[in-house]
This record gives sequence, structure tokens and C-alpha cells, in this order.
Amino acid sequence: MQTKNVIKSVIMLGDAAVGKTSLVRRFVVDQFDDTYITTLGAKPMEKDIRIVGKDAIIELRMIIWDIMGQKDYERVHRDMFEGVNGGIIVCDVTKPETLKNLGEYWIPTFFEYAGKVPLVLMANKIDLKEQLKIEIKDIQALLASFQMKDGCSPPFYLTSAKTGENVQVGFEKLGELLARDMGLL
Amino acid sequence: MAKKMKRQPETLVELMDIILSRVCRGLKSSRHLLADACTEMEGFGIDPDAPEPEKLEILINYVENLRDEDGNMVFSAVEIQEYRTQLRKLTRRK
Ligand SMILES: Nc1nc2c(ncn2[C@@H]2O[C@H](COP(=O)(O)OP(=O)(O)OP(=O)(O)O)[C@@H](O)[C@H]2O)c(=O)[nH]1
Ligand SMILES: [Mg+2]
Repeated sequence: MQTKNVIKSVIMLGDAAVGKTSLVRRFVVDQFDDTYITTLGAKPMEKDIRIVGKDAIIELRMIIWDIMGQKDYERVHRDMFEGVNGGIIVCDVTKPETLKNLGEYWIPTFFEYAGKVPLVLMANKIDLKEQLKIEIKDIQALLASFQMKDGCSPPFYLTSAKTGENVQVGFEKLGELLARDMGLL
Repeated sequence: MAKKMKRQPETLVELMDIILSRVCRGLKSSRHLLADACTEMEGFGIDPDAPEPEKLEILINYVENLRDEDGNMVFSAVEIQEYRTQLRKLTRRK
């Protein structure tokens, strides 16, 4: 089987402190830190993943744009949305308003500037089980109102950047959606 | 005075949004430089929800000297001057 090299840009979306930076850190360097340093601007990182396609092995280099989550930084957000190929949308399972904001701000604004490109939702901090305030059906209900260009709603994972649960799987799912989007799967 | 100008920022948050988005656009094609600049700016400890004027000043001083991969300044002297003026205005009004 031949190998095909592809580079795609993806972006982390969601309110401040939901764990965007921590998820990228877990995925890229497999580490976690409890201290919170708010991201300013947009920080690019990269990671290579391998996907078995229908007639080639796809070596996908993901450029991951980790942006600041604070509301009101709309210029930063919009500038960074333009031209990206996919996104990870993140909420914090202990804070219901972070899920609500995905539906009210992040997803619609992102689709407006980037088009209806592949998205994966990560409902993060699932390790904080006793503080859980979001139900699966709330996530499903929210996602049901958004369709990507393939007509499907974005898939979701319950993740923990702290323990690593479902982080790799979630990013790989996005890789798979990107490969499918290019007609390689 | 009346020449160019997009809308003037009405808050310190808006001013910071303008500066940060310019940094990102200016360095978007030099990813490692942008990543380094962001890390550096994070170190200033600015609260993005309520930027402290002194810290915004530090931010402006920092971006003033930013260069892209080809060694060109990211911001023009005029832009920097404008940010300083706006910062002064917005701080005085409070
Ligand atoms: N318990 C737990 N804490 C987490 C998890 N993910 C992130 N955190 C913590 O939540 C805080 C915020 O995480 P960040 O990754 O910095 O959040 P962010 O979304 O990048 O925030 P901004 O850059 O301000 O938009 C930090 O203290 C992290 O240690 C998780 O899965 N479980
Ligand atoms: Mg962050």
C-alpha cells in the first residue's frame, strides 16, 4: 500500500477553562497540569496520525490551533476560524453553560466562517464524576441541531485531559472525518 | 486625524482583541514564532476579562518589537502609536 501525506488545520473551540489546552497537551505530549494558565491569542501545535484509507495509508499532520476561549475576543476567534479544516468543540461537564455556549456562539459562528467542516465534541473533565452537571441527552439534543456538510451531526466523546480517557480516540475520530471529507476513506 | 480607521475600541478588552488578532494574523504563517509569542504574552499574567492598563502597556511594548520570519516588523510604528493613544484614552475615561 502506498502512503499519502496530508496536512490539515484544526481548531479547539469552547469557553475559557473548559480544558482546550489540556486536551491538546494530553494528545500531543501525553501530559497534564493542574495549574490554569489562560491562553492568549492562538497557539499552534502539531501532531501526526496515521489512518488506513481505502487504497493508501494516510499520514495526516494535524496543525492544532489552540485559541483563547474568552467571550468578546471575536476578532481573534473569527480570524482563526477562516480556512481551518475541522474542529474539536469542548465543554466542561461540570458547567452546563459551557454546553449552551457551544450551541449559541461557538458552533454557529464557526460554521459561518469555516463552513460546515468536520467537528467532534469533547465533553471534558469526566473524571470529576461527583460534580457532573450535564447529561448525555443534553449533548445529543444540542448536536442534533447542527449538521456538518456530510449531513451528519458531530460525534461526541466523554473525555478527561487529566486521565487521558477518550482524548486520543476523539482526535483520531476527527482525523477519520477529515480523511472521509477528502474522499480517502 | 480623520484619515483611515476602522472603529475605535470602546473597551480595554476590545483593544486587546485588536492587538492579539493582529499578532495572530501577522505571524500565522510562521507557526513557531506565533507559538513562542503566545507563550511569552501568557507570561505577562494579563486577565483577558479585565485587562489591567499597566499590563496592556507591557503587551504593547512587547508586540512593538515582534518580527516575522523574514525579519519584518509585524506592527508599524503608526499602529503602535495608535494603541498607546487608545490605551491612554480608555484608561483616563474610567
Ligand atoms: N479535573 C480535570 N481538570 C481539567 C481537565 N482538563 C482541564 N482541566 C483543568 O481545567 C483548567 C483549565 O484548563 P485549560 O486547558 O487551561 O482550559 P482552556 O480551555 O485552554 O482555557 P482558556 O485557554 O482560558 O480558553 C486547568 O486548571 C486544567 O488543569 C480534566 O479533564 N479534568
Ligand atoms: Mg487554553
